[in-house]
Amino acid sequence: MNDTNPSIESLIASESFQRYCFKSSQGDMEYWEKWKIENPDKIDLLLEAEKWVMATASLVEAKETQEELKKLQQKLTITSESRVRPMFGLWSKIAVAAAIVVLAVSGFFMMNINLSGMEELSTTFGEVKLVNLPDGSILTLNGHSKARYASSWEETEIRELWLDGEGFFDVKSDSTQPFIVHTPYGDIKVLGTRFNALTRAKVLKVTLLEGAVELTTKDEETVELKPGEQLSLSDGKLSQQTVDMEPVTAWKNNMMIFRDASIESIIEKLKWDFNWEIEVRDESILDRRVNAFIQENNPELLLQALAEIYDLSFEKKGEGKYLIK
Amino acid sequence: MAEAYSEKKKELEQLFLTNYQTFLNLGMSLCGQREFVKDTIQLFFLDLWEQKWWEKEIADPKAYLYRSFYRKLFSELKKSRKYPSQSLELWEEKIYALSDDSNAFQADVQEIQDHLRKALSSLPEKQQEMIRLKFKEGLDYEEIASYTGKSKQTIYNQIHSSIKKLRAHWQQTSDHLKKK
Repeated sequence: MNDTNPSIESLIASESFQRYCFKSSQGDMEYWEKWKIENPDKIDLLLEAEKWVMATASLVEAKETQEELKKLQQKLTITSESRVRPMFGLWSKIAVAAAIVVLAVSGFFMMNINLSGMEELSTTFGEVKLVNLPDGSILTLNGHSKARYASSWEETEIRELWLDGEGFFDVKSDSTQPFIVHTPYGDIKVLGTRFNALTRAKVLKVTLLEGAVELTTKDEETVELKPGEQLSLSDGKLSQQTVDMEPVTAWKNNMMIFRDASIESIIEKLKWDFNWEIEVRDESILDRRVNAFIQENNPELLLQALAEIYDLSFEKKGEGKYLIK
Repeated sequence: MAEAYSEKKKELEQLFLTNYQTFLNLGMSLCGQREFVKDTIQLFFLDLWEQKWWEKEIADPKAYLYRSFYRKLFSELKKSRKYPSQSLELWEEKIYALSDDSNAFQADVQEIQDHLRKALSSLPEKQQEMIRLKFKEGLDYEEIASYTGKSKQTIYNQIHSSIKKLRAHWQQTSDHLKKK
């Protein structure tokens, strides 16, 4: 590039000039600021080139906007279920009274945890919570799960979180400060990514959607995971396989999806996520394979659907207790 | 009750669709990191929702939106610790002054983008891909070269000539507009 009389194309194509536009290098910023002073007649040219760099780098195509909207909608669904709900009329008064009580209780709780500098969150059966972590990463916590982390990660070398249960992580990438999820059965080291982690009944399952994660077991065994893969650790035994993502993360979008799942595994899941006890009279049905898509994370709907499709009948024996006939 | 709620949700989605490009532009001119800006836009809209923005009385909704988006960007930038806080404060002052100049700048950028959306498709597919890797993905020439197995100089020449074509196209249409 001719430094004193550049064409607009060579400015736009210059990496030093691009870094100046994005403010990503102090050196280049200083260089071009100085250049502007030395070449006052070229300021308009520079400004025009800057507009072109910005326009090209930020250009959004319709497809991308739609994809991003979808992401937002998913987050909104979860938020609206578990956090905000508009209130009107008489109900709002009752709700305000209730809210004050809850606040008083949780305020005390917050004080407790803030003394130790840790945040602790837990969900009851069937509840899903969306959590903004200190670095802006997002954790979606499934029912019957717990997460613990420091209220600030500003002074720490790593971003650490302890998980018991199931969570979906949307982690902000930052190579200077690793993100580690500790589970009772192993540690997951994250390199900026979206993944699902599940620990139930001595089993750890990590499913990766994007990016890369590394799992280190309690026996110090280390495995790296690629997008689309699921890692299972059960009784110290590791297995790795490619899986269909949709069923794994369905709960996050307030849905239930089962693909070629045994009735036994479904009963197991309902037990962990909703504390449902389901007995079967005829054990031979446990191996039956099921496909189901329920547009709500609602076990009752699932049972109804199963009953209809597979010609089974249920008897309700108590709150969350059923017998399959 | 549920209806009023889903109505608000639709409004928010509409707001997202119509302003997405503007927010990305604002964010990119601040830090040039596409993925980071995209994440911040998501968080910003979640905030709007949780704070029930529709209940607030706002005199100038557009200015309010852009200002609060900037505030969000800065707080996220500080959290990410990608920048020394000193230089951040410097820009913060500059940006908060939101002069008419920067608005005119943004308007011009959007005009160029409207043009690019059409003009890019007139380039051969390979050149479109290069432009995408260079500007959208933010790769440097070295990286694109190793990615495509071509020399750095070849990549540079191709991108340079693509920009030239896009510019020529632009000048033709804007001359044409002036004549009108």
